[in-house]
Amino acid sequence: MKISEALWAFAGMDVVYDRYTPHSVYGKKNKEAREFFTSVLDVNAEYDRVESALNFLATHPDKVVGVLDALSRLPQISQLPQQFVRSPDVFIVKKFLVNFARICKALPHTTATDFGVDFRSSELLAFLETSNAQDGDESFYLTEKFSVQLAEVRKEIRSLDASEKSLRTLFIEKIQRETGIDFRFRDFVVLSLDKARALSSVLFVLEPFDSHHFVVRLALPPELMDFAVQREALLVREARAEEKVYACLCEKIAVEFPLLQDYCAAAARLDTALAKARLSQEFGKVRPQFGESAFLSVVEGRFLPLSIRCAAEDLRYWPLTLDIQKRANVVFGSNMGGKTVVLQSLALFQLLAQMGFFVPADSFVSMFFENIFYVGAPSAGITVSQQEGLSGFGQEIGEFQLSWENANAASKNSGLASLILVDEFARTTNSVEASALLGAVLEEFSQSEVAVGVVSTHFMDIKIENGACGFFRMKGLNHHGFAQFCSQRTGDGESLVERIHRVNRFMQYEVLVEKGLAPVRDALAIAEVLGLSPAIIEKAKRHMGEKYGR
Amino acid sequence: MWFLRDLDKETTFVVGAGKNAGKTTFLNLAARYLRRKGPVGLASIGVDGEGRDLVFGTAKPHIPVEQGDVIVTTDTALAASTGVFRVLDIFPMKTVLGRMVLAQVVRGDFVELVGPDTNSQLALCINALRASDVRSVLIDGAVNRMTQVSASFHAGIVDVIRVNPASQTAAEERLRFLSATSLLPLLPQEHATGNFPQGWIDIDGALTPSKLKNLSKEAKAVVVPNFASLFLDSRQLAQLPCSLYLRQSFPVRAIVVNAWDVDEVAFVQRCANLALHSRMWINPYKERIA
Repeated sequence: MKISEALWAFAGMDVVYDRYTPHSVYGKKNKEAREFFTSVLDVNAEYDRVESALNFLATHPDKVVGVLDALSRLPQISQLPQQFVRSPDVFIVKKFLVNFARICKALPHTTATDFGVDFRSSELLAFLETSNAQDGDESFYLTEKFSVQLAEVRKEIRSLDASEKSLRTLFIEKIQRETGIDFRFRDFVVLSLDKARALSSVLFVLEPFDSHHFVVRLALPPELMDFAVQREALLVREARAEEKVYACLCEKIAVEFPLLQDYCAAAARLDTALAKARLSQEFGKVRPQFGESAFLSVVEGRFLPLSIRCAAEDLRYWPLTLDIQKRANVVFGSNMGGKTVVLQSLALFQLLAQMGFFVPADSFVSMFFENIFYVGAPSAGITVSQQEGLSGFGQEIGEFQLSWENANAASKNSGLASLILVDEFARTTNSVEASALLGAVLEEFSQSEVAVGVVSTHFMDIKIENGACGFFRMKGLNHHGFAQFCSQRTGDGESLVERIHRVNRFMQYEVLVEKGLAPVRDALAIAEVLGLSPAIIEKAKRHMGEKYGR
Repeated sequence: MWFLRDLDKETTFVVGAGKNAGKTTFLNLAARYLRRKGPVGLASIGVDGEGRDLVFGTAKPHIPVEQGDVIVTTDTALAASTGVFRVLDIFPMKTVLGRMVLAQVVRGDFVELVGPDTNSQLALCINALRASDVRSVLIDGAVNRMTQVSASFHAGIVDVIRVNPASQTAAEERLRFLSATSLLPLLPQEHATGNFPQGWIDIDGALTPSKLKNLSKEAKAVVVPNFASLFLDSRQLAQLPCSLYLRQSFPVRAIVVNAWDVDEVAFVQRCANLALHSRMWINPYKERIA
């Protein structure tokens, strides 16, 4: 399944993903792929790996830094062995082997087995060793140990270079003695015309610099020119010898290549699991269970984007406990009562679970869904380009229909249901028709095998057959405490943010199981606290009284 | 050559106000001098791309390197050289000229120094170069990129200026500008985190004449990232209506003046009252034999 950007944003996944930090290029690639498991077997295998990683983190804290460092130093091996024709190519293989060997050495046997981490390339690594440095030297170049011919030709080059250097030094010293010009640090000097012209044309080459000066270079003596010619020939021999060594190295690497690919896969598994485990340690997460007993059940689930913010602002966070036993479900309650957060929490938990993460909750049991769909207002920054030009209502209907069709198609293919989260459906149309639409949608959910639907709404007049639907009410405002607080202060001069915080303090974000829809009338009180004109509030209360006799 | 002593054990950007000022030629001169004391680290951040140093007619930017030096360049540049190089690391980015590589010279020769594309990549490469086993680091560079990659370390500059009769006035202005900026104070440590007194203005970019003109009359001080953020001339700098602070300083270790058909004595005299006068090195390639 490709996770839609709208769902991703709605679930606040970036908050989690920003803290999910694999160290290796392989782990980072997995992260970018946003893999969504569609097999219980696969996702359970991933959980097993996360548990193994957690065990490693807990029992071998002294080894963790070393393993993470080695993971971060693993280079990307993306070439085929026949393309290893330069030192940098072979360097990549050596660097990989050095660091993979470090990982294998640091991991306890059981952890290594869990991840299929097993270093079997000691021979190749020893062959690629090019220095006398201690274990762990990543550097590489074609040393003379690889070939007798290479050693011979390099020896000749060294000898020639030494002779050339000594002759050049003598020549430069002679020039300095005879002319006073110092060429030790320069290839040329700039001399006045008269001084330059006085120099021997055998020893110097002159080029104009400006109207009054020449650039003066040394005219190398014939012996030095001979050295240059000889060196050229030796360099050709050296290049041929190097080619042969590279061919031999390519062969050795090609033999080992399937193993290298296994190592890459093992590194990806290990790095991914370690990153997920560290995240789990940070947020106290639990291994999800997939079972038949409940469609979706969470105990003390923490919606991280909000719980982190609440902690930062010293506000109380209300964890979510919810047991969904039916295919059609309604979450209703006060404005600002937390209905949307319930849906966001479910989206986050289910996404995490099916992406192989542990879930920030005390318990999380769920169905294994083929897809997760979100229908509702797009989060900030998300645009649905295909639906540009449609009204909000048109977009919602389009999104819902698409989700429903996809859920049907997915169910036919895999037999698995999808999870459809619908936030404030039809909120932009009139309440009579919106309630009718919502009732129809819930009825469809309740009669279908293809999806589990959770719908948030503040409409009260929805007709649903008794027992067909799960009803969850947000507990809402603590009216008593709120009234007492309000009676003691005016609230004048408070900013909107301060007023919102006050509402939050008296809002009870608890989900209660109900037998049906029950009227919730908090809106006027909340509007009052939010600063709506008292005159309007009074008029609204009068209207309420006229209509409902209160 | 005493100017070169100041480059020992330091990281120095060799910059120039324009193309073909003679940066690479100076870099070679400095590298030869510095490697007498220990291995030199070399990198290029120039984006000029010209194949020839128009100042001295030499092909560029092929740099002679010697055993022990550490360089940042591409694998393709290494392959094109007849030197022998130990690959110390490969950076996780590619340029059109190949993968960026950190390499130690095993057998010296000429090599082309190629810099990476972006400033963040450049910072990564230069930090790795500085962390390698070298004594001094020289970077053939451009001012606009230098200031953005050196936030994490202390570095100085050698400014190479080309002067001929036609560019004499501009060159003198450049010297006056550098001298004026060298006198500007660094932002006091207590304000480094941005807690400025009232009337201080933080400019996160260029300070241009129009921005200067639009400064409020109540402005008491302006803070800019570094001297390269100043798009003002020396006269404007001298007539600033308020204090000016730099977040980052780049000590000028030398100003190399490559002068053509210019009366050196008169030129030096005209610059005699500048703060950086003692740092000027006129025609370093000129042999002053009796």
